[in-house]
Amino acid sequence: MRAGQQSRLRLATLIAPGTLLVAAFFGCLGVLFVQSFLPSAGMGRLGDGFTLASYAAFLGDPFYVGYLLRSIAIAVYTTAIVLVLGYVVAYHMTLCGRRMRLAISIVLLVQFFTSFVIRTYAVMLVLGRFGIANRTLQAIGLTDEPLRLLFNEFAVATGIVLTAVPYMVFPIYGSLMAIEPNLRAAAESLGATRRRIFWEVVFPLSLPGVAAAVVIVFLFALTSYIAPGLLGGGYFDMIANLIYDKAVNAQDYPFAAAAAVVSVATTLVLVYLMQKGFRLAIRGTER
Amino acid sequence: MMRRGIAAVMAAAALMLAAGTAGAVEINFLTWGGHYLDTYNPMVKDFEKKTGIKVNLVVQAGAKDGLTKITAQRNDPQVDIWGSIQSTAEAAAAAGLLATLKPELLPNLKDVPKGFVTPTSVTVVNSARGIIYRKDLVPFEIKDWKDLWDPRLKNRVGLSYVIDTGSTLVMAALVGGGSEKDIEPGFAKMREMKPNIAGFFNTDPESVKFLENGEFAVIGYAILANFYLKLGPNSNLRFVMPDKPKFLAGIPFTIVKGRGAEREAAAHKFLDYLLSVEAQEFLTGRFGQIPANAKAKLPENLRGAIPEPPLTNVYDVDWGVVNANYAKWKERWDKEIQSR
Amino acid sequence: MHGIEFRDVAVRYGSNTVLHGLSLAIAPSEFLALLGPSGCGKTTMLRVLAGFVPYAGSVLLDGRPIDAVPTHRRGIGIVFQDYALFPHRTVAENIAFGLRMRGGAAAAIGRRVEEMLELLRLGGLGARYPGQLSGGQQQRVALARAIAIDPPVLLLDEPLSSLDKKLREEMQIELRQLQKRVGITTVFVTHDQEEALAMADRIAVMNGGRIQQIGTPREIYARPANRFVADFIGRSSLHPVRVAGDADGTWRCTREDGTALRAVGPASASPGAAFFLSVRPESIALAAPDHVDPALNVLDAVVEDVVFQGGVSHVRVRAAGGALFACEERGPGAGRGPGERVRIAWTPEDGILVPE
Repeated sequence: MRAGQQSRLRLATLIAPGTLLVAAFFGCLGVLFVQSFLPSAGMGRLGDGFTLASYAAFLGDPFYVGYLLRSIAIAVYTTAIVLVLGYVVAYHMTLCGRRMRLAISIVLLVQFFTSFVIRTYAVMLVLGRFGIANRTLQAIGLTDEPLRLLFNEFAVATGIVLTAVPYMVFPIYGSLMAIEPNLRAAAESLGATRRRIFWEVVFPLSLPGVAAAVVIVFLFALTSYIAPGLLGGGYFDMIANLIYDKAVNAQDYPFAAAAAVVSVATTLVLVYLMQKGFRLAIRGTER
Repeated sequence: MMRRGIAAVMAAAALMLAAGTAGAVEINFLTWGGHYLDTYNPMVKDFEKKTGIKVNLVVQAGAKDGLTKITAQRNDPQVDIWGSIQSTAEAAAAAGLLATLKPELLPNLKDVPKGFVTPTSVTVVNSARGIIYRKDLVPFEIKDWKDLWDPRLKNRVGLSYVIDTGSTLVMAALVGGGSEKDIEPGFAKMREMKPNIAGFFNTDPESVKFLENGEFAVIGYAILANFYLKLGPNSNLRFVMPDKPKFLAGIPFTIVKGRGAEREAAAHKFLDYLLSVEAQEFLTGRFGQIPANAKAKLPENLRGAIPEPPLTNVYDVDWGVVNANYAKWKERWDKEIQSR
Repeated sequence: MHGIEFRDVAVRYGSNTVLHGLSLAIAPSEFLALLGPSGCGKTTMLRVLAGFVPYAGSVLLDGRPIDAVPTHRRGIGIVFQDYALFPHRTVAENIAFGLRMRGGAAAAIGRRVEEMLELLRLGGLGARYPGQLSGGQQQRVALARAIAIDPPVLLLDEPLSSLDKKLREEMQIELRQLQKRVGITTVFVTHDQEEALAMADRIAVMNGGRIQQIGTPREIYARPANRFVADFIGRSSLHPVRVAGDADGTWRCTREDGTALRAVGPASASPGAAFFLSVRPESIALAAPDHVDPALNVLDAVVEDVVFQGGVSHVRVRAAGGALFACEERGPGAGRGPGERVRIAWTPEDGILVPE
């Protein structure tokens, strides 16, 4: 009896912090949800009652919906690019020597633990008016005036791609390492060339890692805030920038909340569809 | 065993709480981070030594962020004294978040011009606004707001709508013959400036960084305090305070309502301390600001960078009009100006 | 049918030599077991044959060297210890894999897969995934997949080791029958001597990167080539002896304590040479303490312990001079107990002299 009570107490203390976190998270989401239906009384004040005005203002204006659609579009194609880059790096890590693997891991982890802002400024050092790219182009005489590589969609996408690669590499590397080495040997003995071993065996079996990584990177890209803020020069703000601007600068909480709710809902649907697609592709690889 | 441990922790916590209430008054001071913190830290220590009142510094990312915090804490205020800008101070006053000041608790107020005082705020310092630019990247000397439209600045100007709550647009309106009450000329002038605009920034540190790395050669509407420490005879930065009109941002200090009489009195004491000649000269010397106390001297190295006070031609923005239209203008700005 | 030959095949990993220049010929349709303790190099032999590891020397298929042929074109069928079935492919897809790599027509592949499913009694399981099969079924799928490509040689890497005892014995028979029916040259790697003895046409006993002996199971058992083989295969009582001279086609030899014994051994043996005398338990008869027979080797002994196992009892005795002998008694036995005085006896032909 006492032992049971003690173990229950211990279990409770173990679960409590996580439960609190989850509760706080959903609590905030709940507040957001409620606020999205309140009328705005201007300058940060909320009115009483129930209204769909904020949803109408957001969804009814192609200008605002454009932020969301633009964000989804850029998230889709940057995720695709990051997938290719990340897969190549992860695959290389499974084939190269121990030292090379360590070197790549260190580079990725340093990147991982460097603040977004610094990583984003690093992109600026390359693409900036006086950045490496422009200096090189000018040195080899391809252009006289510095090109406008920054403050556009290209710069934002580059920023997202370069900062997202580690999120892609590690889950894929993990699932590649989990592939039984004998499977490659078996495929080889059955007459598969290296290319076919990759496409018939390695790639399909790495899909669980790919699925996890793709969702992580997609969400990372979709919710980009610093990359568009710094590299877009105000010309390529994404949905997070809009929500921040509406909440903090315009102090229009209901609009910001409505935009957030619509974005979260859209994201949930997209992630669900993605998961479903991957599950179809992965079928059979899991026991 | 475990139960005894919990009891001990709770007893210790109770003791600490008791010590906290029995000790001196503590107040929370909401202000900007970075250089502001470095500046206020020694002042807060000096103040505590003189009065025994402890002042805790709480950081806001910007005046708007400060307003967001104060608004969110409406039912349970956590801030006693708040330094922001005129537009946010007025918004907070309009929302009923601020205490009415008690002049009898602010002896130094007698040396502060009446124009710097409202029922809920005192402007402690004035911060000059103007154009800041890279001498090495701009082929001529910028003197006036109109120079921002000079074709030689093609693709070189950095701007922000949010800085000083839309003041960039108000400046453009004034240049175009309008004002915040007649904003249309402002949008017309801004559309006209588009070829010169290199990009838009969101925060003060971004503007500094972009000027340093040359992405922007000019910040079209800038806060002197952000660049003050980087100015000097050897610097490639130059600040101009165009005359027609001058933009001067007061830094109003306000006291938040609902924190109790004792804390409110302590907050008044700290505000009065900030208005003392000694504190004024220290503060303005660190930021290149203009003291509100008429007896305090202008910082030595500010002479030449800005005209000698008293400043004439200072434009008095009607923040009520700006605040009321801010979101609407922002939407237009995003659609018409901040797009290619 | 196809024959294999290893010629002076050596494999080194850095300073570690795994195979010391082995030569070995495998006849067409032969079932050869590579038997030895772990680390003896038997799996490396298989990897050499498959082309997975670089090696010195030469491997010949039907008399032609295949050293320059990469694995995927050697066309050798392999069944791995863990089966290495593709978990994301159905049974039928697994079996079809090698056929697809060869680019056959879909209909032909389908027919071959059906044939294999039939051959390995996997009917109705074609659409299942490997994860849904029992160990024995997975084993058969692995076999089907390897055989489907009609390989010149089938390599089996301890394919039965992860099955339980009963299933393993069933599969031994099944595998052997299948091999005879298909007639495929098969190399079977195992550390289980009973498996090797039961299944192989010939066994190559390996140790320390060298082949210790090649022969039929009977030869290996009855005429071990050296002490290692005698000790590794079956049970054996092994005692150091010295050759004293020959007598009637057998060798006279003496143990360290002076006991004289007769045994068969290599014709090249000469007086004074050191050997080990190996006697199998079933060759030793337990007799009464007064038993005399000049035609046999007879020693006085005391029973040390008895392990009764139903049809057979394992009796360990200590002979005069201290040497231990393992013996077997068939039938319910005389109910011997420790301390009982007996005599042990075996014919000279059952005592074999083996070199170190």
